[in-house]
Amino acid sequence: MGSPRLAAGLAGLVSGIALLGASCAPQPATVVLAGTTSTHDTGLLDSLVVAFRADHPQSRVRAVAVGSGEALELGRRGDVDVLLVHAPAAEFQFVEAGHGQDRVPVMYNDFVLLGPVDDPAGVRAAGTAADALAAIARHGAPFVSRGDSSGTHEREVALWAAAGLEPGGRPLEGPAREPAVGEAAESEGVPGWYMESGQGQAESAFIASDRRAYALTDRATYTVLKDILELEVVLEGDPALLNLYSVIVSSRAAHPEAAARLAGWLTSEAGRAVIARFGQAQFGEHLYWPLVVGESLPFPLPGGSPPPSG
Amino acid sequence: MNPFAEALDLITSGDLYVWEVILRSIRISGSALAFAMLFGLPIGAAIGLSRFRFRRPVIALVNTGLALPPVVVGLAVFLLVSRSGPLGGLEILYSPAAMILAQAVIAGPYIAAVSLAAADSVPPDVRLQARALGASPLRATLLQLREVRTSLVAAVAAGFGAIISEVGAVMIVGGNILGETRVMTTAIVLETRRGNFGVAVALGVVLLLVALYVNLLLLLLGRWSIRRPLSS
Repeated sequence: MGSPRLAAGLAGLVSGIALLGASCAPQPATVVLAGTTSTHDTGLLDSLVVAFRADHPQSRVRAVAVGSGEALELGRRGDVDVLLVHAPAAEFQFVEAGHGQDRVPVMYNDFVLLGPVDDPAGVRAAGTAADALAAIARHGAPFVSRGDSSGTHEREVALWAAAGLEPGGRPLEGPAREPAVGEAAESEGVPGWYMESGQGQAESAFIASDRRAYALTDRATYTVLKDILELEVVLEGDPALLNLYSVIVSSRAAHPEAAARLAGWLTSEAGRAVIARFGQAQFGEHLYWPLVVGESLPFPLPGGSPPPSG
Repeated sequence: MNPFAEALDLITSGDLYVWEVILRSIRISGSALAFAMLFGLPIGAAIGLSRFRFRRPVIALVNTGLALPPVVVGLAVFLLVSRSGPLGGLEILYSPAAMILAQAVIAGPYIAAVSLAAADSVPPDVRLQARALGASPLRATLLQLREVRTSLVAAVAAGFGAIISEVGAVMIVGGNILGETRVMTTAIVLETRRGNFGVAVALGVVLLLVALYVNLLLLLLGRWSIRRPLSS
């Protein structure tokens, strides 16, 4: 590093890149919205961004699709300003630790358990999601887990716990532990029928379809993909399968005002209208149901009649 | 914690997960490299050493192979081996076999293009002299290639570098399934998605260390082939 010419050259290069970057950067504050892979795979995330831009032409917003685990970590670091996530337990921790504020539940749909048409584990006869997982474990039927700390994965782990089992079918011993890095990998105990894809909602469903396996997914993703999946919904309607999406503003948002504007819009009448309309034209059914603040959660779960506020 | 310390920690902690992923990466990319060498080296050497009509367009075609996006190769292999595809009967989707197939297709053009350039640079009189001294055509060809063995090692190293660091194709055809098809690059993507940035960076450092180790081996191999007499 001794040569001054080298140093000057490096400085020139770096400032050149910085200039280039700056010239591309938009002038008004850009708000970054972190959505989940499930909302991205269905196309909702893009629809929301387009509609927000139409309502607020002077605002800049950019959406990234990441698992809820990464979304929360990005929010903690202040790399994203607004989060649209579906991992309630992790969200509460996040807000409690002071990383975010103004958590507002904004919409919901439900998780469904997909499985092969012939349903080798007899899941259709199970009353609850926990019973269904217990049946899958008992039969050693193939099951594809997201395994990526996403909202869907968080829910799957919770359902295993409700069944009194560890993910993969071993009986729970003692209090639940915080999953550690590569913990999934303690492969000694995890039997072959339990597969972790470590990928998004759609990719995991493809793998399950190929392996004739069971998988937990959200109804919107299933609706979008059902023509190419050789899987059916084998269990639905358990209240434990409610899939609740919330908006959170990061405490370290770079542009708190702009972030609050986006978060406010998402939970406003306009935002909820986009959510309610989404998917109607293409699939003839709701993919997500907007939620009215203060309204109690709707039961039974969607899939049938629209809730009162639709 | 700094990523290098964390990387060392990952390797030395005896964590089965990390070692399993490292070994699987080497096994898959190594097998793919072997297949890619089988067709890449002969094609590169043949085009580089011979003179024929339309040679330049053919070279341009081989070099264009370098621009093949891994994710497109992955998609093509996916369609090929998926249940409704022409090779669906093999049932190798989401298995290491499919990953090896995809990576061999990616590495092939690298090996062919670099070895082509190397063979192209051999002075033609090497062959003339060898033939004049009574060498068989095959012997003469081997002598020509011996002139550029360092570049041929570089060709193999380029192919290995392209696939050990590749994520698009293995993600699509392998599926990143824990204990079956999860390799270093897909594990890095996963740890990033989990928000474990530190672990992701550490795995990246491990990947570079593995690449360094393999390249040292390749260099040794190159030197060994220099000392070894051509005739047996």
